[in-house]
Amino acid sequence: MKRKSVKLLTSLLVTASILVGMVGCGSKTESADAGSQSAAGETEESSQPAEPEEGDTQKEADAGTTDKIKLGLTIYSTTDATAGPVVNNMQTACDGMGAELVIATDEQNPEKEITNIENLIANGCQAVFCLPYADDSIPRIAKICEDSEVYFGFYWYDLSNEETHDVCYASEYFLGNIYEDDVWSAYTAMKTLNEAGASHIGMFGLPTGRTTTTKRDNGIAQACEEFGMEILVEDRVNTNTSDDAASSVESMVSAYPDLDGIVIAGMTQTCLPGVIQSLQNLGLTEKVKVSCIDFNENQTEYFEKNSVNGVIGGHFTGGAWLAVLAVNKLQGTPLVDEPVSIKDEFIVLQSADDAKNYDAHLYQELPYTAEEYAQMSKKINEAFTYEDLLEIVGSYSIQDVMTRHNVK
Amino acid sequence: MNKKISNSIVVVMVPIALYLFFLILRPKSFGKINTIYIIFTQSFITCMIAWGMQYLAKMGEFDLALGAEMILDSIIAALLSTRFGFLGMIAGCLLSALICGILKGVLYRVMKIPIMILTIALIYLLGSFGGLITNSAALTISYEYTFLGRAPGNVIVFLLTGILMYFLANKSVYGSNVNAVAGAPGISRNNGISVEKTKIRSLLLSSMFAGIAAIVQLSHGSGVTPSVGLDSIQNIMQPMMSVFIGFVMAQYVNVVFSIFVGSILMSIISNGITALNWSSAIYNIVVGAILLLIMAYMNVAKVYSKKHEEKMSAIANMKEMNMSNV
Repeated sequence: MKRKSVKLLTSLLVTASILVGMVGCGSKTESADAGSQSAAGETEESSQPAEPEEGDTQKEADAGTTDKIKLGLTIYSTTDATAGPVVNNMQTACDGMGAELVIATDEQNPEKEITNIENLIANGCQAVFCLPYADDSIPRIAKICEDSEVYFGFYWYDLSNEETHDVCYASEYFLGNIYEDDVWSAYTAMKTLNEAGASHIGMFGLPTGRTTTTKRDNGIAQACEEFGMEILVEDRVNTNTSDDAASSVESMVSAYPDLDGIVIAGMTQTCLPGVIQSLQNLGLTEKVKVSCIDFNENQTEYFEKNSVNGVIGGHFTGGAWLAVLAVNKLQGTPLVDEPVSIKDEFIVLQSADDAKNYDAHLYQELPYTAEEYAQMSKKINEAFTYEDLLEIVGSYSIQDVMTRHNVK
Repeated sequence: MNKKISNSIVVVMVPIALYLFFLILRPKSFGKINTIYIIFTQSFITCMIAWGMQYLAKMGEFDLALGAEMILDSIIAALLSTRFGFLGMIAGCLLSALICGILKGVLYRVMKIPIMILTIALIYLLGSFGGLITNSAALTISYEYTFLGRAPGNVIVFLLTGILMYFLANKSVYGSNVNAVAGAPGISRNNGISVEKTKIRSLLLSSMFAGIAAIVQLSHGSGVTPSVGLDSIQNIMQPMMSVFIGFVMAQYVNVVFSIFVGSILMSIISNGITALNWSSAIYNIVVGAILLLIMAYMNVAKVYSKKHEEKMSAIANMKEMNMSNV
């Protein structure tokens, strides 16, 4: 009997630990699995949009006059050098405009992403935002949001596929998408290598089948054609750990002795330390140039040691712009009546000074303060317009942030 | 010719044949000594994990949490290295491995559920714990602590681990117990060998070997990224295949060596695919096909072995009857 009780107790303890671990891990400011929040029920009643028959305007007005606007974000992580700033900026935007943000992590799993969206909606979110990992997910996301009468939008996503574009733009709940010019980012990464004297390139790429992958591959192909560069070898598998990336570099260099450049077209967060370490072990830091897309926590150190020639990233304000669109819409002062596609700007780092400035003014501090975001709410600043938003988005750069924040 | 030598030649010919296959396809790359060196050194981590796994595998159990454990070991090591330097890194990996091993053993003893199910639950727990203590951020270690990731550091660690493994597998009571339990758990139990204790010791050993492999892995890549969910299982797929290959070849040579050969095969495939610049889809097809082939071969071998056992048992019975008649 006693033994059985110990077993039962241990089983319960392990189950509870696993659940706590699963819930706790992805969270930063809110719960990872939004649906697990106990407050969901009570918030949901007060914040659910009005009946559809009453019309869109009525719903917006209702939302504006009741509780705090609640927005939901599903993202692959909340803390690394790329995803962390997205979350921090969006949180600051919500703080500034008086909205609440619920975050759920999806580990780049399309199914988990859908579940997160359902959970966020169940949790009372009035608008949800995600990066669709597959075009096929978009009709499902749109349907879930339409059925629940919840607004939705995409960050880091270009609606270049006509079919999905039409699905989204046909929905009255679609707010818009924030996208980056991924052809340009990959082209620029290659251009950096070319300027450093590299022409025989080894490539780390994202898995095929994604829109971002296709665009970055196109950018690389464009640069190869223009600068006479050649992709000798590509690896889209060994990108998840530093060790795998290090092994892959060893194999690449051994198989292709002419290799003099490495481009990391994604997953820099995990790849870069292994790539740098491997080149250092092989004594090839001088010979093989490195350029990558997406920021890494150690990039300043790598620039200081001349281990990396260029990093393109900093595209982390998309979530905040979606929050600006959503809050204005939900409080009954929409910036624009139709869905919108807004192009976000990348930041290009090419020296240790660039990396230090980025770190100090855009990473440790955020590019926009809560007060600046507050001024993007029409409820607080009636004069703010959609054109003003586009101007802010278009002028985003390290210099712009330093000027706005009076940094000499 | 000595049977041992001829058996060894049979086994060694497999990686040589695979190497020749890639050499024909891409002589420029596979014709270099450096490529052979890379193939060998890249197989070390896979082999050390596989050595640790093989005891449980022999008894029909799989510890799926080893990948998550290695990530956690590396995280603890990276964190400790910032305070206690190189020794902190080593101690971090080994201590974390020891705690994980004990935790698995205790849970298995108390809950008495299949190890595979237990370790799937642990993947979530360990992965989430790693994510929590790092805030899901990637960690790196200083270059000065990475010498075990390259020659001669990795070679020394590998050889020492291999010697330890050889003694455990061939010269220890524990190794004999594992063989007995793997062969016939019921008979072993009747002879006073505790099946449960043998499995618990195997869980601890697999964790410790994974901890040693984590030291080399962290030193090789100089960084670690927390992994939540089941992604970390991918880290043990190559070692698992090396174990399967090793078991198939173990009928010819010592299992310690056959698993090493299995790891080299995996390394040749990985390097060959990079050298030929085949797509990731082909990589998965090749690896998957090899795994299926090995599984099929194992099943055939098992059926053959069972039939052979029945035949031998029938002959023994007949002899016994003849003796009693006389």
